[in-house]
Amino acid sequence: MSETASPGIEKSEQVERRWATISIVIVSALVVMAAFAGIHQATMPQTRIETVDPRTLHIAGEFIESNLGSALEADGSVTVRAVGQQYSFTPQCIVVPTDTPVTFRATSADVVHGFLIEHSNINTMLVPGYVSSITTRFATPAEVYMPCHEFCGVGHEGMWARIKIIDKAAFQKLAADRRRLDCVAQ
Amino acid sequence: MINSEHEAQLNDAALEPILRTGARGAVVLAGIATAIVIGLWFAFYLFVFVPRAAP
Amino acid sequence: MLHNKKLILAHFWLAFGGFGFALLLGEWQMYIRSPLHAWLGNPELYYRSVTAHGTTMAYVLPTLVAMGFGYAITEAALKRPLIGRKWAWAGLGLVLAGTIVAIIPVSLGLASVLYTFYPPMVGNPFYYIGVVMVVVGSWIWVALTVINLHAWKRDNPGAPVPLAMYANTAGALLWAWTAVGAAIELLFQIIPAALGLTTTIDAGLARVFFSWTLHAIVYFWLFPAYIAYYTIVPRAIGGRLFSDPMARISFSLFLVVAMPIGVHHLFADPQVGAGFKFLHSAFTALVSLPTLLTVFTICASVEIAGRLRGGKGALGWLKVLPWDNPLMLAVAFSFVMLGFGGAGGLINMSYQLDSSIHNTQWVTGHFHLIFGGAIVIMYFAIAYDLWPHLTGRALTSFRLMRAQLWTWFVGMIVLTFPWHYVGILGMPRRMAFYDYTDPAMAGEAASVMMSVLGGAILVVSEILFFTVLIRGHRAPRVEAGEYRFSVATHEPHSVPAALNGFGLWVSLMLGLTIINYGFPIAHLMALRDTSVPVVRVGGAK
Repeated sequence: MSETASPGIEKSEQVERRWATISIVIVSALVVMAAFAGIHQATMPQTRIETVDPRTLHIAGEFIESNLGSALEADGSVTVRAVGQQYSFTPQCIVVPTDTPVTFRATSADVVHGFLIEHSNINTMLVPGYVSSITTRFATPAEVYMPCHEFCGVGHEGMWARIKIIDKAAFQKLAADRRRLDCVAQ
Repeated sequence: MINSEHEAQLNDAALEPILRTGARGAVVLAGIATAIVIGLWFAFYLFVFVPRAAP
Repeated sequence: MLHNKKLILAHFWLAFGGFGFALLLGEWQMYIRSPLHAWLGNPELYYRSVTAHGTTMAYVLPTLVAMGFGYAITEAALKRPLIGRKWAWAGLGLVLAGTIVAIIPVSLGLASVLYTFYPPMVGNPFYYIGVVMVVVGSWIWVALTVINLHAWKRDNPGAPVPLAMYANTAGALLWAWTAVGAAIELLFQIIPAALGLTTTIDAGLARVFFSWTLHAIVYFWLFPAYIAYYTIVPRAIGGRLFSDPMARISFSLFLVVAMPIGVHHLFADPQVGAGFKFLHSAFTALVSLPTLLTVFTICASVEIAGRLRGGKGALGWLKVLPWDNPLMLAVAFSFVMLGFGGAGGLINMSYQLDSSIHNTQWVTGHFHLIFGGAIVIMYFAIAYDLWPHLTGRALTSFRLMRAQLWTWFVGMIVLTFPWHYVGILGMPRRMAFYDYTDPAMAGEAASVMMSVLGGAILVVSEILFFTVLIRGHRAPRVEAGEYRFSVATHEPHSVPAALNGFGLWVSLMLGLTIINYGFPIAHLMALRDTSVPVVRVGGAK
């Protein structure tokens, strides 16, 4: 390409170079925006990998049944522990307060599941052998669905949980009497 | 092959004046298209992602 | 002598019209009242279909198109018969055999694991073995592509590799390397589990290996379409390729950056840390660069065709383009769908933005638009362009081809735009059933029905497509002549070694693989106790 090129060809090459430069600028801007959104408005996925044994979830450790549900921590935040299995979540109805940091910690007891919470950016996979952890905050009371969104077998279409977002004060009152909260009975 | 050939297609001399205008039409067309694509990205960011982001 | 013919005719037509309608209703009633309709709502059949549909559309269709088009390029661009003809037939045989071996267990419901495999769910081993056979058959094509290019280069020292062959080889090399990820997952994790040799599997590690393949495979699918953009469209519409070196740079960039970005499919997964997720997100932004370059170069090449025809003004040249030419229509439709599909892709790759739509129907809508739309429409165009050279008979009806392309485009838009919308509403993926009576789902009903209509239009398009191709086997004989590619505005007499060979790009691709995948894979392999019990699917013991 280092041959004598006509003025027309030279002009073409100049135009291509300009377009390539603009393209690189656009692409870099996208990366920066993605980073900005990640840092400032994040629903950041966990930074480190945590493992767990799905075979003994129900026997010992963090995910035994009596430890599942919403727990009010000493610092005022809430930790929700849940397990997904073919074809339901436990607890099936999860209650959380408004205006409080809420951390969901969940895993799968068998195959790959996942969940999203409607009208939010909460969206995570549940891979057996690993713990998923995601922290967020809810602004207004509502009742929303939490479907499993990863194919997990023939019953996948029936795997829906509910999230009840209730007023912070109401949640505190409920949490005064009980260690772990859920709304399964409602 | 399916060809709508033009007599001047392989004529370098006919090509030269076109090239000298510097792909003006392509810049406009590709520019508009790229702007729309970036616009769609911003629309999603502003109208889908941000309203759902944790406060 | 009948005087009131119209009166009498009107009575008969009305009678028979009503009859025709009522007859169909009667047969519908028979069907619903019988045991024959029970299967309609069966979720297991839905997932079987998703497995078969995905496997065929993702692993069989694009592989065979790339191989067939690849062989055509090898012979037409290098202007010599293919070396290794018997091996090529063997490769095709392996792909065909593999497809059959895979589809049989799927059809019997023994491997409804979807084309993404989903360990620790494991189905019948023959499904996976069939997929491996398809991949191995395609690797024969890769080897033949490299061998043929090498032989040509030896016989033409220093000569520029024809662009079509350069791109074809880049695509083959990309595929060979990207398939390795899924091959490792299949050969070392899934097939041993399916055969009962192991009873546990590390699902997180398997997903990382699969992600190695999962993104770059779509660039493997994209190569034939982009090759057509650069080397067929300018020739077909009476223009010139605006820049040969830019074309080579774009294809080389794809070869380097398409593969080491797969973790963007794992943004929501717990087995990869945030650092590597961000790294892959940034590299994914890089892979949009060759598409931005391509869009400009092709617009400029098409503009030349317009200006040669006397087109004036910034956009006035668009009007005078040969819109009766099916290839002109195809590239225009393809670019529109590429624009929208690409916007969706940019959103998906932007790390946090993905969390708004991950695993919703948005994702499915996205890849149907970009692959089923932008890419597959060019597969049709390639077939139309090549067909007379393959059959020795003319394709006579441009009208039918244009109708087919129009219906594919319209159908794809009607199918996928509402599909993106329901994804935004939060509709999860891959469910066989949705309760549209529930207030939370009711807002999705109308959009889903529109997508069904879009799909029906696509079926019509498919029928038109087969009509054109089959007629192409029965039309009058014609001497199609030598198959030619587009000519650049400045045909290179020599090309820098970096853009005439692949040593540099393949090294970069391998290096980036190590940087982007080395630690995540090594870390997961080193972690103890992350293997979980296999869950068998399909009634297998």
